Amino acid sequence: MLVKLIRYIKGYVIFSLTGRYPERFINLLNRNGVNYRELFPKGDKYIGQMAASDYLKIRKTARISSVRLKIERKAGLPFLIKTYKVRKGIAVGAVLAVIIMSVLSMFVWDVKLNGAENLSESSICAALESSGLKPGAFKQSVDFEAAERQLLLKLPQIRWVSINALNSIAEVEIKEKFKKPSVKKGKYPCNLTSSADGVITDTLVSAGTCMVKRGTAVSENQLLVSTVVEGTNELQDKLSYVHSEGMIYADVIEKRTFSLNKRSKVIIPDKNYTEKSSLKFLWAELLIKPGSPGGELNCPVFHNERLCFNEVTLPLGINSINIYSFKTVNKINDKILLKKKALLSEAFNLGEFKIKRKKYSFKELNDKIILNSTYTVNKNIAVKKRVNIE
Amino acid sequence: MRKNINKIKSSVPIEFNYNLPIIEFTGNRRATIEGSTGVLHYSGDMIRINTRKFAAAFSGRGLTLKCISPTCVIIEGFITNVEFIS
Repeated sequence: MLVKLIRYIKGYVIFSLTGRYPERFINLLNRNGVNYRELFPKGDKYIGQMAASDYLKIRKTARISSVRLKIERKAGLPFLIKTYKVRKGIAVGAVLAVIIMSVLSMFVWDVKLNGAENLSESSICAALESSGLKPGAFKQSVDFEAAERQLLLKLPQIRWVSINALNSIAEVEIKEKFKKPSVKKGKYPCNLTSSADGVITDTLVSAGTCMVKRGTAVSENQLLVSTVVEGTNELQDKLSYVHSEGMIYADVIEKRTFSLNKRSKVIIPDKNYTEKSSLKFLWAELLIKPGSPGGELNCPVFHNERLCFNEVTLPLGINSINIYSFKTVNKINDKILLKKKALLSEAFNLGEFKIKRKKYSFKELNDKIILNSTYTVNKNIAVKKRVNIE
Repeated sequence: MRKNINKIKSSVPIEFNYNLPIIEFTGNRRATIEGSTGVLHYSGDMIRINTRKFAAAFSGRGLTLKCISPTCVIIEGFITNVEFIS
């Protein structure tokens, strides 16, 4: 390999040899100490290779031995340079490329995070940035070991971290701490009591003694399922305590009150938004589209777009900020809006229960509209209540 | 004196004693000739090498001179016959 490289750098010619005494020519070359290689017969001529500098010396030898030499091909770096001598731009470009590559490889182009499952990437990046590790940072100024220690201190959810600076990409390998397994609570004796007033519609008891029947009216904190269980056969004729389990469904009345001012101020988005973008190269930013927000309230949304080539993130990208402006307007509220509010609350708070009946009543008081809503919902009212046995 | 010279001659290896070439074969694919003085004939099916004492003719198929130096020649190819012409 090395010999081939040296030959390529020095340059060589592939020549053909025809004539009456090729053997004499070979012997003369040997005697004169001229190096050649891969000389083999091909039809009525011989093909061989020789260093370009040696080829100029063998003309006399060829004449003595009555052979004719012909260059079949020239190869190697000197001939390549000669070919491209006119095009100086290529050489300049190549030198510039080497300089640019060596300069750019001194910076961190991108920070890649691996292994973060529950932790947010932004929190990790913020912790790394405080240690100096961020896209565009000078590699020699970053202490990777210190950054690892800082990250472990700042984010206690991490149990192991390793930062590998591969070329210009800093790969951060993270192992998160294991979550504590949920501990099942012991089975202590408990009663099931009512959480609200209502009328029992269904009882599903798997452990304990049910104290209510379908159609029974119950009040809040009333005993529904007792922890005390009587033995059924002769051997178990004494009382025992169990961990009561079950579901007691009852029709319960729920009351909600909603109110709205007749006139109120609301914040609505402005139709126009401002876009501000800048070109980012390593740490430097060049503003390409300036913009200033014009509304009363502004909400910026950040976008970072990075240029990727062959799955490698390059240190060139566009940072853009979309600034959405909002304005305050006076609004006259009516009953329909209040009802919408009630329906929304209903969907969020009573969505899991079966609503059997509902009733709305509006009332106006000074500058306010008040909506009283009454719901009859069917829900599980049983709650566990621990029994202390002495 | 002559007796002593003969005694020394007999103790020296034969290749140094009679200026004989050293020919080394690797199967029938390669032959290394040390002590050659020149190439007499070179073609794909026959190569004749001159040495101090005799000429060696190698015949076969696809014969090439892989390496040539003033005293050493390496022949590669499918060697089928070797002939010594003195």
